[in-house]
Formats: sequence, structure tokens, C-alpha cells
Amino acid sequence: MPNLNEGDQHIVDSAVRLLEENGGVRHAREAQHARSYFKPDAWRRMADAGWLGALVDPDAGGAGLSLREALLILEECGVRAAPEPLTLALGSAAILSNIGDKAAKALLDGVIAGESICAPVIPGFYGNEADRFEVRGNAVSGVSSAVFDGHAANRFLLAANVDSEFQIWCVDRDIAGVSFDVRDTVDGGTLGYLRLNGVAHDKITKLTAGNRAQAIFDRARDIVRLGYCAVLIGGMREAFRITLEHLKLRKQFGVPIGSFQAIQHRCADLHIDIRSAHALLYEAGAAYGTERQAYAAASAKARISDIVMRVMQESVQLHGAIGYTDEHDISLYFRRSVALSAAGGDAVACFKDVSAFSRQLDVD
Amino acid sequence: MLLRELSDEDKTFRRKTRKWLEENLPREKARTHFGLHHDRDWQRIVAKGGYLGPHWRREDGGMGLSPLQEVIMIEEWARAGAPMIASQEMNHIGPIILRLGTEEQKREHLPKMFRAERSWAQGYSEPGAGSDLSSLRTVGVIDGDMMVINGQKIWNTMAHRADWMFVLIRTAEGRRGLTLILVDLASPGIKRNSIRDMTGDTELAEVFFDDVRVPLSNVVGEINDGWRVATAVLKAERLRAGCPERALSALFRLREAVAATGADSDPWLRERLARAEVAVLTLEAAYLDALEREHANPENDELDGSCMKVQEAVTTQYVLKVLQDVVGPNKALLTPHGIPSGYVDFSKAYMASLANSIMGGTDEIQRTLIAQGALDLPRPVK
Repeated sequence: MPNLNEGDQHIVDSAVRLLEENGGVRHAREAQHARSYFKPDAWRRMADAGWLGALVDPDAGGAGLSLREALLILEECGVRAAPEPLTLALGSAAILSNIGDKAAKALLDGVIAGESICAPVIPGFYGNEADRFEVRGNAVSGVSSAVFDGHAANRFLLAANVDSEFQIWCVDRDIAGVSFDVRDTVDGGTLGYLRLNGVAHDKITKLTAGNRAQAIFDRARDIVRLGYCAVLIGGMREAFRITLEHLKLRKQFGVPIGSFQAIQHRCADLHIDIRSAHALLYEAGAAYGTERQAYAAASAKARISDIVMRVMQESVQLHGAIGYTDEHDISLYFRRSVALSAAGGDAVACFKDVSAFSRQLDVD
Repeated sequence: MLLRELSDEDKTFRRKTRKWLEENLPREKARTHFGLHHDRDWQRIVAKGGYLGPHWRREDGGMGLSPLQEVIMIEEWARAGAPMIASQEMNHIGPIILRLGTEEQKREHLPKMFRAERSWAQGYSEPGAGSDLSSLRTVGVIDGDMMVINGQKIWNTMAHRADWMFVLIRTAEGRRGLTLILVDLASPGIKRNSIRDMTGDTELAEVFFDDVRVPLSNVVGEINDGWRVATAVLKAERLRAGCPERALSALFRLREAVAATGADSDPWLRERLARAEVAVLTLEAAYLDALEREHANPENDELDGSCMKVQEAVTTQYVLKVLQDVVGPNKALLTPHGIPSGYVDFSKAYMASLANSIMGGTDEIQRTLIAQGALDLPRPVK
């Protein structure tokens, strides 16, 4: 596990407090059995703690945390399978604060205060490719990439590819012609697509365009990827902790099943995977803001998504029948991991990105 | 390969190391070998350059590198294709003597290690004592101020060419009945044979002891305390056995093969290449993380060494398997073929990597240690 300094520990402790106030794992369980679950007072607490603007400069109204600190918070969210779309808020706050003009600032204030929930739509494959929207006269049409857990959002930040120009749009959910179709995911969350069907062009806020827009969106994509990694790792850690506890208590043939070598060796391998996933996340986080950022985030999301699913599947298996039940928390973490390993680009998409990005930089 | 941005100081260290390797690594030694290869001439060049003992403190004669710089040095070594630095001296017996040896032993052995004047082999494994090391049967009997040794050691890397050996012998019954002793391999009564491994190399050896007389002053620590002595520095030793140098070398080879074969235009292979690359990245990140934890608390009981040792072996073997896939039918070749620079010895490297998960305590032993030590799972009921 990471080498936490005093400041880190303080952040972790306060995150644990807040998440327990929000109901901890019970809260997650409630969410997994609901549809399009969203609990405004849980979100409010996160806003009040400064989490929604965690990465934003204090000058711009944020908490000014480092990425590492934000990842520590997200890990704790993962430990309790918190259903709130905090990763999305961090992504949209990053986009808006990096644009930095008056229009963006007004939107950012709403996001940080928790008054407006703004979901960035991160294209899933080859992250640098924007979604295509057709503009005919004043009418815009098209479908976005997938958005995870965006059901509570009232606006969306889109990477739109218009006549080969990269543009960042802000689209309000309630304007005519906009629909956000969601489907339930295995963990009680949602997978949605934003559809624009002849939306009036002048109702869409075009925030910025060109290379700068692309760079801003790429940065958000990488924050979101690393953020999901942290949540996944938190959930995996907790699932493995529960599993080890089970292996020490559960007796068969008169002895704890954790004393069997067949099980011990598998656990050792899982432990190696978990600690290396952890190290990879924070090493990738340290590349944030450098020219290796995109490569690092894609690498982390690719590898960690794979590791997490392996650990989760083994955790179910090591529990035997009880792990297969809905009642047991293992299944809760399992389902959450299925959804989040796909969010922000699944392993295959991210390995594709690793391959594409590694050619763009001198990896030395 | 590390993802983070380096400080100016660390960048300078990288540049200096790279330049030193460019100027001092003889062409004929570059990229000739995979894995452990003990080249005494190279060892002397390295000693002269001051690159021995990266993790040793400066006041003890080492380089006193930070964890990050240790990794940078490994990266540069792998990039240059330099032979690995022999590990017995600086990672095994050196630290044991430094910590538990007598003043006389320190004076006699440490300076010669730093000058690469005396090479060492490890004498632990026996035909009947591999993973179950504590059951070893090479016997030492005290005769006046001498220890008389009889028995056999095996799988001792380079023991047929080394000058000295640190040997675990039985001086009483039970786990507490072991003693660690330093033996001059030129002593009368020693017979050494090399063992040819599956790659065709002869770096392993077996050593027979027939009434070999060794001064008692060569015992390290107390008599019958050899288990504690031998394992005193085990954490640091295992950790460095899991250093990502071989995995990085494998990756550099893979990249070269890809450049030569154009394998990255094949989407089937492209995903595998990305996976191999990220596996090495992950190994490096985990290793640096473990070094930093050791740096902060050398006595931590996380069993990072065992974890790294397993992860290194698995990763290196994986990357070399991908390399085999990239070269198609050429993987069946033992000697280089079809690669312009002519050094990628396909199956040899892959076969050599099989030793990584066996030597220095098999991966199975490491997994048991991790499960019972780090994860606190109960010991099997007998």
C-alpha cells in the first residue's frame, strides 16, 4: 500500500468520515437496488467538503488539491462503493477551469457548488477522437459516446468534431431536441448516450475550439481515467480484505480454508497484482501535466481494469457459494467493478491508446 | 520508462550514467547476454567507474543512490545492453559481512569486493535441500581452531570460477544448527564441476567438500546461528533480486525486434506489445514503490522482496514470450537471425528467463511466504 505522509493520512481520514456519514456501504447497497439512484444530500456533503472542485485552484474557487490527494479520496469512495459520480465532476471542473473564460467560470462555479451536475462525455476509443455531430443550418444532430453514471447531470460537456475542428460544447439537458437515454448498468448506475436531434445551434454553448480545446479535453480524459482507476482500486482492496477475512474464518475439513496452499498461492498472486496496480496508479498520476500524461493514464486504466476484474472474479470464487449471492458485499463490489472497468475506456480501448500514444512520444 | 518527470539532479544522473556506459561498455560485451552473466573484466570496469553498490551507503563505500536513482541506473544498464552486475558480492555476502562480520572480515573482504578483485559464489542449495533449505546436510565439525567441512552443494551460480564461497553448513541438529562460513575455493579438498543448463551455458556448478579445513575465524556471526545470519539481509537481497533489469532488457529487445520486423503494423500483435510494455511499466512502478518503502523503513514486514521476485520473473517471462510471438518462425532459432543488429537470441533469452522463478527461492516458496507473512493466512495444519 502507498507510503502515506501525514497530510495524505489527514485527507484519507476526513474522506472516510464523510463517506461514512453518507451511509458507507449501506448507501451503496441502496443504490445498487435502485434505478438512476442519486441522493442530493450525499452530493451536497461532497460539495461542502470541496471535493467537486478538488483539483481547481483556490483562486478559482476550488480546493487546490494535488491529483495524488484527489486520487486518495477517490480510492476511499471505491472502498465504500460510493455511487456518486465524483470522477465526472472532477473531469468537468478540470475542463471548465482550464478554459478559464467568463462563460466557463460561471459554469464552473455551479459545478463546484454542487448546484449543477455537469458530465464530460469522454469518447471511449482512441480518446483523442471527438464525437461527430452534424450541423445543418441552425440544427445540430448526432449521438455522443457512452457516459457512465451521468443520469443526474443537467448539462454535458461534449467533444464535438465539426468539419474536422475540435470543439468543446456545453449542452443543457432541458433544451429542445436534447435527450439523454440511459440504461441500467449492473451496479445500479447507468450507461447513457446524449442524443441531439435537430437542436438549435445557438442554444449550445461553444466554449472553445481548436488545438487548445483538444488539449483541455485530453487532460480531462486522463483525470477521468485515473479517477476511475482509483475508485476501482479502492473497491478491489476492500473486496480482497473481505476475502482474506473469510479465508481465515471459514472452516472445511476442520481447518480454515485459508490454510490450504492452493488458496494461499492464489492470494499471494492477487496481493502482488493489487500492490503493483496501486504503484502504477500513483506513478501514472505523477506523470500528469507532463508529455507522458496520456500514455500514463491509458496504461494505468488498461492494466488496472484487467487486474481489478481478475481480483474480483477470484474474490467471488474464493468465497464459494456465498460470494455468488446478491446479499454478500463481494457481489456488490464485483458489479461496481464491471461497470467502472468499462468507464473511461475499457482495457482493450486503453491498450489501443497505449499503442497509439507510445508512438507519439519517445518512451525512454 | 518511468512515467514521472525527473528532477534536474536525477536527469543529470541519468545523462552521466548513459555517457559513462557509452564510453566504457566494450562493444563486444554489449547485448551479448541475457540475464545473469558473470564477466569479471566488466565487473572490474564497473568497479573502476564507481558503479558498484548502488544502494550501499557512501560511508560504507557504495554509491548511496536514492531509490529513484537506483531505478534510473537499472534502466540505463538495460538500455545499453550492459551485462548485469554480479549480485553475490554487493547484494548477498557483502551486506551480511557489513552487518554481522568481524572487523577483520570486513577489512579482508569488503575493499576487495569494491575493487572487483575477489568474486563470490553462494553455497546454500544441496541435492536434497532446495526449497527446504533448513534440511541441508553439508556438515561442519570443529577441530581446534578449524572447521572441517564435508558434503555437497549444487546450483551454485559461477562457483566453478569464483574465488570464494559463503557456505551454509550443519553444525548441530535442527534449524538452529546451521552456521555460515566463508570458504576460499582454492582450499584443498574442494572439487568443482560446471553444469550445462538448457540454454547451453555453463554458469551453474556443483561443489564437493572433502575434509576441507577452514579457519573458525571465517565463521560469520555465531556458530549455530547461520540461519539468522543468512536471512539477516534477506529482505534487501530479495528485493533486488526482483529488480526490473531483465524485464527492461527484454522490452528493449522486443522493441528492436518490432522495429526490424514491422510487427507493430499487425493489430494482432499490437495489443500484445502494448500489454508487454505496460507490464514492464507496472513492474518498475512496483519496484520503485517497494524501494521507497524500504528506504523509509528497512525493517517493514510487507514482504515486498518476495512480491517483487515473483512479479519480476512473471513479467520477464511474459515479455520474452511476446518477443517469441513477434519473430514468428525465428523463435525456434538459438542464434541471432534476421535482425539487423544481430543480437536478439530468441529462444535462448526466453529459456534463460525460466531460471528467474527458480533461483534464490522458487516462486512457490515466495508465494507461501507472502500468504503467511504479508496476508497473515494460517499455516497448514500438519
